[in-house]
Amino acid sequence: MTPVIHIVDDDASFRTALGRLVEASGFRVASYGSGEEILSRLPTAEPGCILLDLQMPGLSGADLQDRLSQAAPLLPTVFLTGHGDIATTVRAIKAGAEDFLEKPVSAKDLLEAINRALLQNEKRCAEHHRIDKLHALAAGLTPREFQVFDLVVRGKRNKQVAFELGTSERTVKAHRHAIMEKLEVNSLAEMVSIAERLGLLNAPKRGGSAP
Amino acid sequence: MVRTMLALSCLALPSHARSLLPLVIAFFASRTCNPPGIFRLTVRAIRCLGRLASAVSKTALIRSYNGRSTRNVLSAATILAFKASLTIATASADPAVHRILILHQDSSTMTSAIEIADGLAKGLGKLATTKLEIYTEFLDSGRFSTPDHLRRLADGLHAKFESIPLHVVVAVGPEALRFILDHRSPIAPTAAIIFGDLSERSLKRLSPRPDMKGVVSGYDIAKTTDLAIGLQPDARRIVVVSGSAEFDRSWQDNARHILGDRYHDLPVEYLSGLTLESMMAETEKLTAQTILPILTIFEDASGTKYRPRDAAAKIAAVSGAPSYGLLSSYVGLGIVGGNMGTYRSIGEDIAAKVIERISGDESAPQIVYATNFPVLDWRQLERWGLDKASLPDDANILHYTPTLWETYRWQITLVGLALLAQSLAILGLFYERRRRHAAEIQSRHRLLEVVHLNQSATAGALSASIAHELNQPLGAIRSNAEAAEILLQSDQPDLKLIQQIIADIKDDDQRAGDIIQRLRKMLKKRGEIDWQDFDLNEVLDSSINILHAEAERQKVSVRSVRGARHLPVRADRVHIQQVIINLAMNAMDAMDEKASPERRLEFQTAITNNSTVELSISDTGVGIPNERLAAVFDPFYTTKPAGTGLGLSIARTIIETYGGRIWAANRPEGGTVFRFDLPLAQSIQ
Repeated sequence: MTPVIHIVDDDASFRTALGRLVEASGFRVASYGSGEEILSRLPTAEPGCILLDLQMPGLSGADLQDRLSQAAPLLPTVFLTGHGDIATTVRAIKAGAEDFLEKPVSAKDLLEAINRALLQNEKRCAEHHRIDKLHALAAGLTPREFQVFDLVVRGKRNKQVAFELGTSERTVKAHRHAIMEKLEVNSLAEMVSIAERLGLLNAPKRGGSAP
Repeated sequence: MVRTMLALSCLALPSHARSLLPLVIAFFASRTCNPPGIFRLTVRAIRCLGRLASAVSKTALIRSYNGRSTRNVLSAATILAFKASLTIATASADPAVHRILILHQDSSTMTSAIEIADGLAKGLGKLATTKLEIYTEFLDSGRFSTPDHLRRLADGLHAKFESIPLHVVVAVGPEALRFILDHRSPIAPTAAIIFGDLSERSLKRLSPRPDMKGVVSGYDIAKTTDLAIGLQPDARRIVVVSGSAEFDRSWQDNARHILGDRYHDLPVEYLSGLTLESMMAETEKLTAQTILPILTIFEDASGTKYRPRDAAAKIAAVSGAPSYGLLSSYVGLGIVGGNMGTYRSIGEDIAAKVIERISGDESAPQIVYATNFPVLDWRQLERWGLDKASLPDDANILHYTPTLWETYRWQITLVGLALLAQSLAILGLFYERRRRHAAEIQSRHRLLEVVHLNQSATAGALSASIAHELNQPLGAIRSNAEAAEILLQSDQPDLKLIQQIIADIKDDDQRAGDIIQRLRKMLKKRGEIDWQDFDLNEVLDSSINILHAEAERQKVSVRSVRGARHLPVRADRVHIQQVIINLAMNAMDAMDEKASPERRLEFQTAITNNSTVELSISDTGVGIPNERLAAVFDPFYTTKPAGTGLGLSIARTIIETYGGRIWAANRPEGGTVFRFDLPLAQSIQ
């Protein structure tokens, strides 16, 4: 699918020109005159990136970046600025800018930046997909199995798990086997990796009772 | 009453009698009126006469030489007589009193007699301690010289002075000497004889005894001629004029004797034996290169008698040559002058001899020569254009007409000084004015320079936003061009789109050009104020144009409210724009600490008082402490770390240059409003 490049600039002439260039380079283009506009018409899940003018009246580039990273986290943002002073650049990078271009920008630099951003977008999408899949696998666990999974990835031995859950070591072993099958892994290390990616390790311990 | 009568009678009486009048009064007073009352009257009469006489004598002393008033000079004689009368009145028989008879050869109306009497009076006046009684007689021998008359006169005098022992008889003139030598015994047998006013030749002829002493006048024709030659170096000849009387002839002989036919290589001619008319006609023909000494003319060939000075005056008046004389009485009547001394000096010389005699100085020489010196008439020197530089130092210049400078030296000096001071003041003022003008021009240039620096600084401060503003069209142009480039590489390029792209490129180029144009206008350096009539609203628009990018950058919302469609003012529009930008930049800076939605900049124009145009620029910033509101316009007043403190000061200078005012106030709702006004260029129709 052709990626969509979202261009946000208050200057219609510049916006149009940039759009033409991007379109001529083989992308699809969506233009917005202000930060508010792009927030109100949030981009679809299609691949793409955002070209954002840092200096616009109303919502500032940095503020907009915050809002966009929540609303459309998969779309990387390339900032465009009229003057690349250090302070502005630092602010933009901190706000999560994928790239930072100074106006007037050459087609080569722009397309390179767009391509980098699209790659990043692809990565983000793949990661997003993987985590979705893991979530789906994890959803297949029974509540008891999930309890056992939670304790095992935190480094508990079978004996300790059995003790905590008030069951026998053999039962825990059976659950572990079922979990490894459902999560399609072969080792404890893989289980820990999945738990980490699902964010289970940072969450508080779920306690001994089943959910 | 008595005073007046005495004074009047004194003036009205014939001259002889007049000189004796005080005597008579004194005599009358002392002999006849013994009672104290009468005596008092007498004393008063005497005092009054004394006052009158001294008053008149002052006049006489002042005017006697130049003035021809016989009366004045007579008064001088009167004083002498009067002094004597006082002596009589108080001590008539005093043996210490010296009685002097002055015997004048001429009549009492002749200048010579008058002036000699004057000189005598002056000279004898030096004898302050000795009492003198002075009597004066005038023989008028020029007109009355027959032996019979002289004998009768001698008899009269004999009778007159019989009871008065005379100590000294002063004979003035050779005829007077001759008379007293002939008739001494009846008149003054014991008196010493002092003579004067006679030539050495006359003296030799008369051969007085050695104990008779006196003054010999050197009527020095040679010295007078020398003087004339000095004054007329270009003279060709000398013509000597004299009358036909015996005396006249004797003078002519004397002159022939001294000058001869040639004198100092100049031919000498003698004009005599003519009537006065012929003499006048002859002298009239003379050229200015002639020296014309006039001797004496008591009588002309026709037998007509003259006073010599009158005849000399007539000749001098018509003569074509400068004339000279030997007698000082001629001076002032038209002759240039001569070496003569004056009759007054002769009188003084005689008086000196009299004093010598009275003081008993026997060793004194018998004769002394009268003091002679060049006497000249200033007016005649001027008339003939004679060289005054050749005059000796002792020359006595009479009738000198002081120049204006000499007469009004102080006044002229003062006026001159005043004029000078005034001129200096005027020059000073001109100089000051020029300096001020130059200083004004210089200060204007400085102002323009400072304004330009301020403009440059403003441009610097705006550079970020200007760069951004410029980058928009430039970026658009580039992107458009590159898009077109890509489009053209395709097999079937979308020409319509490319056309559109090119149109957009042109528009963006125009936009960039406008921005640069605006900036250049703002930065344009000028040597003089470019006065123009313009609409303040227009300048406000262009200022906002320049500022809008900066306002955007600083997240400041800008609003403007126009009070009227057209606000004509007369000034340099770039300067006014600079003021607006300065004020707006300050306002934006003042709102730095506010959250961006609260940063509001508002411009408002209005006509106030129907005669001024006002622009206000209000912000929602932190405001200015009230006590500093006036100080913000002072140079170097700044609250910004990087500020120069010149922006507002320059704004004020600019506005005041165009006849406006600028002031600041805090808004009740927060923030500051800066206002300036300018005179309305023309009334709104």
